[in-house]
Formats: sequence, structure tokens, C-alpha cells
Amino acid sequence: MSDLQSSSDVRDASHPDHLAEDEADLLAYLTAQRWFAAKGARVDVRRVRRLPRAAAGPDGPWLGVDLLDVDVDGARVLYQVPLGLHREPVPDLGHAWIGYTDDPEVGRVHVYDAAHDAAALALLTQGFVGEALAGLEHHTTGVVRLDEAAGPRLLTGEQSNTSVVIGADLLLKIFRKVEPGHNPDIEVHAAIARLAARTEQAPDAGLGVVAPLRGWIRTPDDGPVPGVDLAMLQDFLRTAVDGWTYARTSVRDLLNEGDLYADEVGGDFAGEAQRLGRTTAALHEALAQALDTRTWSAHDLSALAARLHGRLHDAVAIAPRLEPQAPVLHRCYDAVEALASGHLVQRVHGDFHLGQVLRDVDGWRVIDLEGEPAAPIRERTALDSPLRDVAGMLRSLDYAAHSMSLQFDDSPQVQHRTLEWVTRNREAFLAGYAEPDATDHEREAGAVGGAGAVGGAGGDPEADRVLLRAYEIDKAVYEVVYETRNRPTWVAIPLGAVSRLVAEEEQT
Amino acid sequence: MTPDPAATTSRRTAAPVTPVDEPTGTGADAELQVEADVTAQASAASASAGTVEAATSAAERALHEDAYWFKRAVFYEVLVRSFHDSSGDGVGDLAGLMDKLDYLQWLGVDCLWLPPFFPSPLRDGGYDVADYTDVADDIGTIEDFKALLDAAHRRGIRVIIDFVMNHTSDAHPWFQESRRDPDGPYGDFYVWSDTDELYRDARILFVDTEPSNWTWDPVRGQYFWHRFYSHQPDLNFDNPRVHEAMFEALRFWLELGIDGFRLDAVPYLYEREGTDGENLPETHAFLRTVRRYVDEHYPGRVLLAEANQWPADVVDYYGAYDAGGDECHMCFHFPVMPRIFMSVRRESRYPISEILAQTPAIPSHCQWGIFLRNHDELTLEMVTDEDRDYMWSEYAQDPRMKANIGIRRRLAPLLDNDVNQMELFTALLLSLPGSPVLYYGDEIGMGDNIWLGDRDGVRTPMQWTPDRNAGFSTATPGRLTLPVVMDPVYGYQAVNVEAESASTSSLLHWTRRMIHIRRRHPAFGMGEFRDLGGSNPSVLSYLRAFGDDVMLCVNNLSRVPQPVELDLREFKGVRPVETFGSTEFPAVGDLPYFLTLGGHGFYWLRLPRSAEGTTP
Repeated sequence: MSDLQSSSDVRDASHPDHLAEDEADLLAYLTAQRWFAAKGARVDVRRVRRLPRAAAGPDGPWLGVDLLDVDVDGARVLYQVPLGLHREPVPDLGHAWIGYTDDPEVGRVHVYDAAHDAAALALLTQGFVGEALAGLEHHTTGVVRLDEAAGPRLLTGEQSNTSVVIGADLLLKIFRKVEPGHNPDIEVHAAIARLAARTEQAPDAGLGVVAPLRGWIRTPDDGPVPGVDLAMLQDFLRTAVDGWTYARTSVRDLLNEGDLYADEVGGDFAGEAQRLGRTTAALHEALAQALDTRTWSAHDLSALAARLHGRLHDAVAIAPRLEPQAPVLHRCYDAVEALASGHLVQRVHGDFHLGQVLRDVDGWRVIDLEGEPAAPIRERTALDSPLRDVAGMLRSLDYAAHSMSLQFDDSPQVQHRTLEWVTRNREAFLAGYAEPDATDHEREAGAVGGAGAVGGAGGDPEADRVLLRAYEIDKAVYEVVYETRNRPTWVAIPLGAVSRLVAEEEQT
Repeated sequence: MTPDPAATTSRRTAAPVTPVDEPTGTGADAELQVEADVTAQASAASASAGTVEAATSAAERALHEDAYWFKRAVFYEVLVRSFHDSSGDGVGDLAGLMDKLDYLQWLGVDCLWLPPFFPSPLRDGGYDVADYTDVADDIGTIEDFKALLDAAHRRGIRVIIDFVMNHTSDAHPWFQESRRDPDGPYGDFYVWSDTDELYRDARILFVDTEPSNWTWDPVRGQYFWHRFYSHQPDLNFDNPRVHEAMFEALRFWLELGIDGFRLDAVPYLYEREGTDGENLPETHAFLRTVRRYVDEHYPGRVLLAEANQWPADVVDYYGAYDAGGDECHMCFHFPVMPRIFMSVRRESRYPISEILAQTPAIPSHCQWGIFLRNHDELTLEMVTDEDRDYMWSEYAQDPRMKANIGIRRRLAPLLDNDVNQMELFTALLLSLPGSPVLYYGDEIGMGDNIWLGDRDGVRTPMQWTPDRNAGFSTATPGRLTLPVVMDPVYGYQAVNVEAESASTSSLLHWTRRMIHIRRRHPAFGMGEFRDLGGSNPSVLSYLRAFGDDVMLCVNNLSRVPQPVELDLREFKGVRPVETFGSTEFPAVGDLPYFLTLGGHGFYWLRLPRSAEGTTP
């Protein structure tokens, strides 16, 4: 799904001697999961805190939520593992079996990861419609309707969380790495829902840019693990496909064709890219209205430039192939420092790429509004220029095209067509983003502070160009480092992008 | 044994023997008759007793017992002038069409739609009617029509005809009287005015030929109103006598026994200052009156509206939702075809998925009519006018799209004669929500003649045989109403019913098999539609479900092979059965259901509810 997926290098966890048997089972399970971020690190469980077990019947099964304080290379991280506890083994759940243990509350049980366990999930979601479960708070944005016709379906391919389709049209997203305070994903979705209610955009309540929030699960402030957001419930976009897959379908069509140009071929993506740009602008408008904004001072710009310079220095050390281009790239960052202050910053997506947008029958929707999940909440909620997201999507379009062309030959023809696709869809995306009246919602609400519309009415086009260029370079440099470490066969993709950015910069 | 549906005689008593061993679909039909309203059945039977004098066949009796037949029917639009000529004068006629009913029964169509065959100056393909209650001389007589109707009914085939309410030809005696004698009985039959300043907000539909909706009549010394051509004056629906005249004409055909009307150009009946003159409340009120009249006196007959508007506006022509619909039984769904075309070109399901998602629910006793091509050119401008987003980003940017779709082509040339695509398009037509309307000749992949003017290019004679005049007529070739297609790819020597009947791998046989499969599955006509999404944007997958009849349709819109994973959780344990060959597919398990499809390939899979489909 993501354009930066790494092949998971699953490592068997050791069973440290000081842990109880069930804690060791949990640790072994935890470290083998894809959503466990610290692959290859030194890991130890410090403490396991258990929320009260909820029973489906007198003899189970039970739902439990265990919260694990884990030391990862010395840093303390909190993980949650919701559990299904069964007296007897469940035949179809072998892949999600954690252990057979003596639970302090309910006795000898087989323990499963609840995300795979229909009975445990039913208990977990019942809290949205029925009685409260001990130790959990279920919040809703309205009436939740659970459709029990079909069992839950676990989605695969996710990096850092676990999502389960509930019934036909709800999605339960279980956060794996949690921390006290409000989860940004819930916070942003809730803010958009409130904005939608204010501007009378219900019944959708997602302003046409996100999948509407229906509820969330939190630990009570007076419980054993106070004030932690555990999961959110939102509409499942049943007919959707992710932008990464969809964009690559278009590239595939172009490269299969051979003798037609990107604007002639049937699978042209420019219309979609343009609509995606429009949706992105609408998201930024909504975030600017619903949450904090401020303007950047000269000091902020210096600090930003310093961060950019610093990351480039580090990157050159890891990927020396960047060295010849570094002077030009640094010059681009200097230009950021020289910008006039006053740039409006706001909450942004923060990890915006084609894998974070879904196309369904109503158009594009943005998902995973939680920033970079590996970062602490403080960083994930920092205000930034929306051009950071724009740059992220431009890089993603480039990745979509070139990763597909890797499956063809490396002839000049293929390279030429691929670049043609990238150029066409970049321009379409930017054009859509700059459209003044992107949505009805914006027209009604009025423009707020020109949330970085590239070349649009609100912002300074030249300042936008400088900043956008800097963010694009920063992202490409990050990708070079990432690919150098994890996927050397793909490193040519960001390197090529860096070269093109440098060439363009030298021309101007 | 090879069937010979091309035979030009109607003396044959049995239908052509079919080379494909299939049940006839009576099981599904019987099941559905339970659906029909019992009182409707009773009144239909009593009404038929008075109107049908000839001895009735079993198939004919069945026609009267099913008030909602149109929800499952496959319609076939046939231009009488271009189908078959029995008299040898070069023009197709009603008797010629009657000769070919065996072929149409063999093909499996349920209802014929006959565009206008009334007396007419033929300046607008017969939609310029000069007499509502007669047949044009070169096509036949009222007796011929009655004979055709009875012969069709005996075969279980219904017939609906076009009815043009909005306007007449300027050659109609009513108009001639109206212009001659403003104070006479027809003086107020049309919309006359001393000024051409009224109703300025009504757009001009035919901007290429008409500078205004008003034209000066030197005889009467006034302007007359026309939404279409200036030779088609609009009737004045504010005059109750016009209503009476309309009802008289409707009654004439209903008494003959026809099964319904396609109502041409219904949005424009009234004009009111300060409005665009479309979809006015008065128009809906009049349609409700027509519907009440038909329901009371001729139950089971259907009204099919042509309202070339966006589906959200068209649904108003079904009338009251809670009452199950109290205006028209059916309306055409115009944007489906261009969206199918766009989807296949984009190799993306979204153009189709979107338009279906944007289509509102319709009253319970109503149905959409969907089509791939018809006798009109299909202008994408008209159907996407409301959808500026699509216009801008998909259509306007793509000149090839514009060149291919806004023009007068038949399906086969539109698709470069690609059989795989023709089959995919037809499979979509037969499985998407709505009753499919086939256009004569498309079942054999007929071509068109772009050198003929106006819309005649897609109205060339039906190609029956490789013989002279394609077996359409015995006339001297120069006398034909329109020349037969003679180009090397689509010419009648290459594409004709006789040849395709003889080859079971032909498009004709394939189309027939598809129609017959459709007949066995009420889900297609009556069932709900659910878009399944799926992992691959180039694959369009949906469920059609009616009671226990559940069909899974999976369509590869791309020209290259594709995989798809589908969420079929609710069918866990079910073994899908492919409907062409009854092959059992692997059972649905815990994981998303995985299928692969060839380029432009598709599946119609039956999902048995219980274990009935499993191997013992």
C-alpha cells in the first residue's frame, strides 16, 4: 500500500528470564508482528497492565486489553494488544494464537489476538451500541449501527496499526503503539466532524474529504492506564481502492501502449490527479478552519532551513552519491531562510502519499490523519506548511510511475513515457490544488488564510515555489537514505528525482 | 441441426430449433408470476377478454398475468423501415417485420419497441407525426399492424410504440387548421404569440439549426413555439382539448392491444414564463393523469419516458415514491452507456460505479431502461451537462473520447469490431440495473455507413443473408430506403444473420445465450445492485440479488489480464457456479475471494444460498 514499504524482517523474540510465562508469550507475539516498529532492536517488557476482562457468557469467551510497557533500545514505548480469551482452542485462529495461560481474572485460557477473533471483536464493538464495558470508554459521534450480517474482516497490508472491517461499512482501527493523550487521528477526524456539523455538511460529516468518524475507544482517566486512545471507528469505504494501486494502473496502461503519449492513452490519470489536488486543498482548508493555525516568523524559517540543512548533511554521509548535488540543494534551503516571514502554517496530514488516499464512488478520501505514526504525538501535531503534503504527493506520483516502469525495460522510450506521465499528473494535481473554489464547503465558509494554494489567490506563488521545492528535495533526500538502507534496487527513483530537481534549479 | 432464423417465411409454425441445450427459463418465470398483484391479474384478464378476440395461445395468456413484466424484459428496438421488406418496394414494412418474429423469438427478446411508423413528412425520422392514428402508406396498414401485434403476442412477445406528445409535424391537419383559422376548433391547439419575446429562459435544444424557439408563420401572422425543429410546432397543453386529442390517440392504440408507449420528449410539454420550460409541475400532473387512465382501463401496459436529463432529475418522472410510482413505469437511463465506454477506455471502474452511486432509488414498481446504442446519436454533452467535473477532467481533455462517442456509430465500429469488447459491453448491459434495450443489428455486430446524412448511418437495412440487398428486400438495389452496408469489414456479405446462425461461435449465438441466461435469473431484472469494489480498480464487480437468486458479476475493463480480490464474507462456504458452463468454482473461504480474468473478460457467477451448488 505504501510507496515505502519495507520487506518485514521478522525476528524471533527471545524469552527473557525475568518475565512471567504469559508476559513472555505476549512479547514473543508482539515482536513478530508487522506493526511492531522496532524490528532488530533490543526489546524488553517492563510491565503488563491488564484492563478488566469482559465476558460474552459465564464461561467466556472474554475480551481483554493488555497494555505493555516495552523498552526498545532503552526508550519506553507503550503497546496495546487486545485479546480474545477462550476456554477451548479455536480451530481457525491458530495464526493468532498467543499462548495458553493462567489469566488472573478468568483462569486457564487460550489467548488470541483479538483483531483476528470475531467473538472478541463483537464484544469490543458492542460497547458502541450497548452496555459499557468495564475499563473502556466508548465515545460516539452519533448513533452507531452495527451490521452483524457478515463477520469481521482483518485488513492486510497495514504498517503500524490494525484495521478490521466491521459489517459492511464500518472500519475499526486499533492503534498498536499508544500513548497518553489524544490520538491525532481521532482528534483530527473529530474536529472535521464538528466543522461539518457547524457548516451543515452532515449527513456525511466527513466534508467529502475523509471517511467520517463514528466513534472511538479510550481508557478512563481513573483507570489503571489513564487517558489512552485505543481505537477509532469510522466509515469503511467499501468500494474504494487506494491511490497507489490506481495510479499505477494508469502507468501500466501507458507503458503497455507504447506508441501513444500520456495525454492520448485511455488510462489517463490526469482527471483523477486533478480531483485529488482539489480534495487535498479541501482537506487543508478544513484543517485550517477546524484546528490551530499561526504564521511563521523569520526565526521559524531559519529553524526550518537549519533542519533541512542538517538532514541533508546526515543523508550525504549515508548516501555519498548525493554529494555532487549537495551544494545546489543547500542553495535551495538557503532560499527558504531568505523568504519573507508570515507564511501561514497549520495542522497538515504529515505523511501524505498515494497510499493515504482512497478513491471510491464519491471521489477521493484521505485516510490516516495521524502524521508519522512512529513519531511522538508532540511532533505529529506540530503545525507545518500544507506544502509539505503537496510535496509528499508529488513525490508519490513520481514513485508510482517509476516503480511501475521498473517492471518494464529501461529503454529510453519507457523512461520518456514515465516522465511524461509524472509531468502530466504533477501539473494536474497542482492545478486541482490551486482551483479557487474546490468544494461547496469552501465556497460557503470562505477562504481562510490562503492555506498554501500553489499559485492560487491566497499565497505568494514565488514563496510557495521556493518552499515546495525545498520540501520536495527534503523528501527525495529522505527517500535516497531509506532506499539505500532498505531497498537498493529502488534507489535510482529518488536519485533521479534529485538530479531532475538540481537540473531545474540550475536552469533558473 | 442448424437453425434458420433468417428464413423469410412466417408459415413455419415451430420456433427454430436451438443448438444450445438450455432450459427455457419457465421456472424463473413461474416463480415471478407469484409476484404479480392478484387483483391486477384479475383485471388484466377481464380487460383482455374484451379486447382480444382471436384464440389465445398459452404464451399469450401468460402475457396478461404479469403486471411487472417490464422489470425483467429484454427490449429490442426495431426500425420497421429498415428491418424487412415484404412488398418488394425497397422499404421495410410491418408485414416484413412479422415475417421475422420467429427470429426475434429465437433470439429471446421479450418486447419490441417500434419507433414512429405513422404518416409523416419524415423530416425527423418519423418523430414529425402527421397523423397519430394511422400507419404510413409505405409501411402498411392498421390491419397489418394488428396482425403483427397478434402474431407477436402469440409468441409471447410484447410490442410498445413511440408516442410523440410534445409536438406534431407542421404537416399535421391540426396545425394546418390552426394556422388557417385562429378562431376554429384547432385555433388554440398550438402555442401562438404575437411576440417572440416570451419564455426566454427556455434553452434552444437544436442550436445548430434553430436560432430561436419561436418561428414566424406568415399564414396566421403570428409566431409559434417549438422546442425542437421549426417544422415541429409544440402542442398547447394548456388547452383541455389537446388533452382529449391525446387520450383519443392513446386509446386508439391501447384498444388495438399494444403493450405500452415510449413517450418521446416528455420534459417539454408546458411552457411557463420565468422557467426553463422543462420538468414543470404541470407536465408531471398531466403524466399522472395519463398513468391513472392506463392503470384503470388497460392495466399491465407500460409507459416508458424519454427524458434526456440527469438521473436525479429523471426519477421525478416515476412519480410518487411511496406509491410505488404514479407517472411512468420506466425511464431511460442516459449516462450509463457513455460511462461504460469511458470505463473501458480508462480501464477504471469508477465512471460506471460513480454514475450508479449517483443514481437515486426509484419507486418499487418502476424500472430503468438502459441501452448501448439506439437510433439517435448519443451526445455526451447532453448527458454530462450536469456533471461538469467529469466534462472538464475526463472528456474535454480527451479528443479521442469526443470523436468516438458524440457521433453516429453503431456498437461494433465504436469498438473497432473487437469481439471481446462487444461481449463485455453486452454482458454489462444485460447485468447492470435496468431493462436492457438492444438495437436491431447490434446482435450480429452490424456496422454503419458514416457517409449517409444525419442519423441515417445507423439505420441501414438489417443484414439477413449474403444475397442481394442483404436479404432485406427483393427491390432493385437503387430503390432501397437506405443502401445496405457494403464495406469489407461490416458489409452484408461478411456480417449477416444467416452466416452467424450457422456458426455457434458467432456473436449472434453468444448474445442469444446471454439473453437466455438472463431470463433464468430474476436477480438481473428485479434484484438489488451492490457494488463490491475490490482490490483492482480495473475490475468492476457487483452483486445482483433477488431472494435466493444471487449473481456475482465480475468484469475486467482492461485489455490485459487482471487479478481481483473480492470481499465475499457473507457467502463464506458458498461455491460459486459459472453460468455459461455450470462449472463450480472454489468455495468462498475466510480470505478475500481471488479471481483472475482475461483481457476484457467477465464472469457471471451464481452464488447458491445453501449447499445446493456443492458436489455430492
